[in-house]
Amino acid sequence: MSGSVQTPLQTSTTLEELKTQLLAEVRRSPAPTRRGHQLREAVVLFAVLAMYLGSYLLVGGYHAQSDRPTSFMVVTTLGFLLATLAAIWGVFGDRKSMTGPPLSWMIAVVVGVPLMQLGWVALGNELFPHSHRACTGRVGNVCLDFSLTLGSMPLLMLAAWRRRANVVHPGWAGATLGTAVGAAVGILIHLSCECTGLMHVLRGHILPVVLLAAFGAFAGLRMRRLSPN
Amino acid sequence: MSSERPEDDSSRSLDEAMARYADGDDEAFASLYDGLAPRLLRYLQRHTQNSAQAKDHLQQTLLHIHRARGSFRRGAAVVPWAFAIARRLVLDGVRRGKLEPSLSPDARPVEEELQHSADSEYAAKQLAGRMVETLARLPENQRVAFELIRQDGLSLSEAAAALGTTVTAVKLRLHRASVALRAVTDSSNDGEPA
Repeated sequence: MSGSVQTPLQTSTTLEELKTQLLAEVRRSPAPTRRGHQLREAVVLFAVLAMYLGSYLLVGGYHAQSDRPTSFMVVTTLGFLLATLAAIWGVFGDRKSMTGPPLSWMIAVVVGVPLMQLGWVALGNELFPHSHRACTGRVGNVCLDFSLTLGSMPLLMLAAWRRRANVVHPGWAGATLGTAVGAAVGILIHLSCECTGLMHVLRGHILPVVLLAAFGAFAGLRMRRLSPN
Repeated sequence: MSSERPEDDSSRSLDEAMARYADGDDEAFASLYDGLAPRLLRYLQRHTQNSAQAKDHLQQTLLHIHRARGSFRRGAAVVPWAFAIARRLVLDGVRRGKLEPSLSPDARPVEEELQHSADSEYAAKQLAGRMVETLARLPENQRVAFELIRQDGLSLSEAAAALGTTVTAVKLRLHRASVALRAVTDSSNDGEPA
């Protein structure tokens, strides 16, 4: 993917000469076709999914906690799943666009998804008061570390794969990707952690989403450069 | 009220060429080049004010399209994508300090239009100069929207995609730019300084 023409063109180069040079360069450095790209994409997504679930299982996986009823788990997990799907939609946007979703959509996802998660926890606390655990002694550092550990590698892999995919707003596209990864990690954290106190949730469950979004934005901006010189 | 523009036909045939290229038809790249290069070069020359730099960016734009051919989505539009890549290259060039931002856009298209209708060449030149100044003073998002649509021939949806915003936002920016420019022509008709 690095077969660009390094020598600057002469001012007098005509469009026809430029065409000849470009066609020669394109023949010299073939790029994958749609079929090849789809195959690579499937491999990357499989690797990310394997890393996401594998690392979760490695650190213990899901333990059913008897004082969290199934109805509570289903309803709250569904909310986190919806937030994740909203974030994934923000990453890919209109499937027929090569320039990504409009900026306003991405901002809505980056700002809205963490708020949606927080709102869902608050709603869960109202609907299932017996399942509410304030965990005042647990500030959320374990959940924060766990989330960042689970999310950072998949995010790095996806950011590298999608580098230059959004040439219009690379920073916001990276932030949206980070939000999507953070939201997906949030599902696993919710399954593992019984604490629903808002301060714990803010620090341990929501802050990682924001941090991963910031990391995604940084990666998006760092990897955006199209020109080799 | 669906007014079909010649650019729409050209854009559609370019989308088809890009789709063929993404599927592996290597010959389609020449058609893509023929359709995209002149329009992109005009845009790049206006923004870089430097012919060699514009051609270099044109080359980089088309090479990026080539490298990313496999990611081209079925039914997607290639023109806004190409303009978005070209714009990114210009912005990156400005950020790296290689280019001066194009504060004074190319006056020729405005001048050409005006010279046909103005009473005198002198008045036309004065008016064109004031319009160019007004255009340069517009907020960047309004100016770019105006240029992409009025000077580069993109449709509203193509310009929206190239700028990563909604059609409504582009309409609003275009409207505001047009109002500002109309104020210049109106004041000129009234014999007042703009």
